[in-house]
Amino acid sequence: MINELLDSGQKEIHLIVFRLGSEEYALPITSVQEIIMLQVPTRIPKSPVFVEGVINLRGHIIPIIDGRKKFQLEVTDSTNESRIMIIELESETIGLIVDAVSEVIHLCTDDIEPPPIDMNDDSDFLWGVGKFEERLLILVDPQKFLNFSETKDLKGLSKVSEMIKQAKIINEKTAKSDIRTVKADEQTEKLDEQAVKN
Amino acid sequence: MELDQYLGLFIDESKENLQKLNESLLKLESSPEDLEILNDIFRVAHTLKGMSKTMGFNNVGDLTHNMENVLDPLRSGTVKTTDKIISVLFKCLDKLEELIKNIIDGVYEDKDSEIVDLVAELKNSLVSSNETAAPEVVEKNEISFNEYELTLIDNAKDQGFRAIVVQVTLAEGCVLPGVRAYMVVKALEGEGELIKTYPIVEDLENGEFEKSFVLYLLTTTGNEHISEIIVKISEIENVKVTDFDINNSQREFKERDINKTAGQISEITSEVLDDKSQDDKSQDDKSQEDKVQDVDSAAKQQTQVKNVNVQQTIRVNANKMDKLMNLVGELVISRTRIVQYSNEVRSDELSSLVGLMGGITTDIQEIVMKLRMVPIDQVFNRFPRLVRDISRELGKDINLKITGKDTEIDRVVVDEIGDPLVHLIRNSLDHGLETPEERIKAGKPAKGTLELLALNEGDNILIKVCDDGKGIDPEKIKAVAVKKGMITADQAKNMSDKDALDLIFAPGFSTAKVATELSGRGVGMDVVKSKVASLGGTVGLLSKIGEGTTTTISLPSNMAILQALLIKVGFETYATPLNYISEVIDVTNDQVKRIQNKEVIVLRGRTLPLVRLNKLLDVPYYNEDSDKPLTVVVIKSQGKCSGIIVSELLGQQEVVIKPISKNLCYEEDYISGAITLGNGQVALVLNVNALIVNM
Repeated sequence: MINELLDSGQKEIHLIVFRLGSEEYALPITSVQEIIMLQVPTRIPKSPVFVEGVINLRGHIIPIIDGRKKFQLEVTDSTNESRIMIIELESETIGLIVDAVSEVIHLCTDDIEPPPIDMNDDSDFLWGVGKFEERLLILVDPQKFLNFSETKDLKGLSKVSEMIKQAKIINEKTAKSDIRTVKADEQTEKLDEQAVKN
Repeated sequence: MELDQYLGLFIDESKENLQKLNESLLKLESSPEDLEILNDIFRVAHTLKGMSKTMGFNNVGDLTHNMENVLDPLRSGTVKTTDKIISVLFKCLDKLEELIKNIIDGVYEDKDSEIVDLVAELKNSLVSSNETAAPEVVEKNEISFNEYELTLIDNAKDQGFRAIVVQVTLAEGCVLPGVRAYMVVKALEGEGELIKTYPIVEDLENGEFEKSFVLYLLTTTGNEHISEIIVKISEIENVKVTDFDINNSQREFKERDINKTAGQISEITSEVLDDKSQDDKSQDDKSQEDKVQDVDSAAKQQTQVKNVNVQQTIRVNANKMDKLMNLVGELVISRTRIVQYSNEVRSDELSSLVGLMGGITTDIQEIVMKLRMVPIDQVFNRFPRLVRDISRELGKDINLKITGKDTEIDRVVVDEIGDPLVHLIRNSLDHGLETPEERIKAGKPAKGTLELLALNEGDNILIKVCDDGKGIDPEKIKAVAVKKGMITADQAKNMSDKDALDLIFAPGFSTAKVATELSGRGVGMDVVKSKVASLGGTVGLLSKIGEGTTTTISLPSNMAILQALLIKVGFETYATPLNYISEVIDVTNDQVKRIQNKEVIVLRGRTLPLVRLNKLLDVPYYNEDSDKPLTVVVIKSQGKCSGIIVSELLGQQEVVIKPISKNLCYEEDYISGAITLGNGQVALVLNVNALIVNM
């Protein structure tokens, strides 16, 4: 799906941005069927820990995955912002509990950084990092991202977060240098004001 | 033109037409002179030709076109139907089926050498039989006149006209037969009134006839004069003009017959309709079947004159059907919620509206559920051919009897039950039924009987395959089982005949000494059994040595809706299919014993292993009150029983089981599906087979 998107030669991709823990992720909007409020799922005995259960969505039985448990983040209580994203995968439809769904954006393909080469197979769900208005978005492939026959959780996640950190540092550095120039501008402005006063 | 969108339709209709062709050919084999059957076959071939040419499948078109060419003289009576022609036609049918299959699989090619061979064979069959056929071209009696035409002839006679038959044969090598025929028709129209031609005028003008054609004319002109007029047209080889008189007595008989059959049909149809509308499951299937057959035969008689109006159907995409089913399920659930709400609100107006809506939704639900049902004939209709082919191959003379083909089964079953039935039929033909010589020796009629039977029994549908063959010898079964190491010799000695027969269903069992092409590959009855089990049914076997074998498949009549018992474990609700539950009992804690660290109770002298669902399913917040008696639901499957301990019984309910993703990878397969409850919540369905404890 991601490859199709990239191969299509579009200049922009339409993404839906959601939050899990402190990171922001983005999925192609075409893979998201709808976003619904939290509901209490029916527990499935002996299922993987990240499977919360199943819900009834207009007659369809949909398995629900807790995003925090899936990515071994600290489990917290749900908030008013928590939502279930109904995501269409190749073979089935599943629901993903996320901390918040923030917005729908158009991201220029030029603003996408490829994933680092030394990533192993466990983290191949990540296909890039998007830069959008000073923010870093983790771009994920829904099919691989939510591959829930994968019970061992994602070992590669640590590497991903490592990568994100590095990317952030780089980003902050550029941001800081921006701030410096802003400050410098302010100073010159002040100087100008003084000059006017004088 | 974009044809892809019509492909599905083409395939469906072709399959249907091929099935019709198959049936008609089988009928033709037993009564080769029947013009009605020949006409049916011709019509089907013609339809296939038209459709396939439109779709661009020229192979199919060519083959059917050549079949038409063979059928046409048969139809007109110039050539007699021979076994040879029929067997070639069967070959063509096989080829057509293969071609359609290729089209479905997307491997269709327009070049096929086999077709050329088949076409040659078709032509040959006609040539060889031509020699033996009577030279007489068309006989008067074979042309049937409708009532209007008969009156016309009568009236004309009263006014002094004569009815004559003009038989025209064109010269060999006539370039434009259509034009010549047209000229003949034109010439005769000037001499009187043309009442009928054979073939019909359009075909004549298009030149679609073999050398000669026949015209029926009302005229005052002399026969000599008529023939002179026609001979003047060039390229006419021969003209024969004779007087024509319809056999009056025959006609009267025909008319009386028509009235009779028409009356019969309306009578029977209304009876059948009444039967159906009553929807009485215990209805006498056999008598209904007889009636239906009466209708069939009566209808057949009538089609000679008038077409009976058959039930109209439309094709619907199966996916859409499933969606509709699903939505109706949701509608019913929503209704329940509205009813609950209206009870709280206590408004008379709302209550009456809700009641009205409730009635409508119930009706919708019933209809939609019935939509899933199709007559079992869809499965049975391929068996006559199968039995014919196999019995010929084996040199056995077998009469296939099919009863209850209107019995309705779930659409899902239609696709799944075919293969097991083929297996059972092959077994009967191969191992059960004897050759004519053997049968005569055993004092039985030379012709063996294989009976396929379908009927409703309560909520189940029974499909039986019965033969009057040599039966199964339990001792032989035991011997084979011992030899294969499935049981020991001691076990065999003490084994009852019934248990011995059940060994047939064990994996890897095959009694045929030599594995034939047809059956006996060792993957026989156990596959049948597991397939039927996957549909929620059972297989049973009854056999008497020397008298025959009956295999009975029992299936739930409706796969979509199931009766289930809702139970509570802790705060969680689960559903158990009712057909697995034998009883519910209360047990005090001190009745629970321990054997090998497993909990059991003694129920009527038998030990019943207990399953604590709360532990098995890791149910949270489960509190047990040790003073209260335990509620135990006794479940049974494949001859084994277990008792499951539940917190509460919620009652029985009709449920629609929906699959849940297998990817949820539970370690044990305790859950077989999910249902939606009245409050919109999901409850899981317990997989009874996984809960049975082996002791």
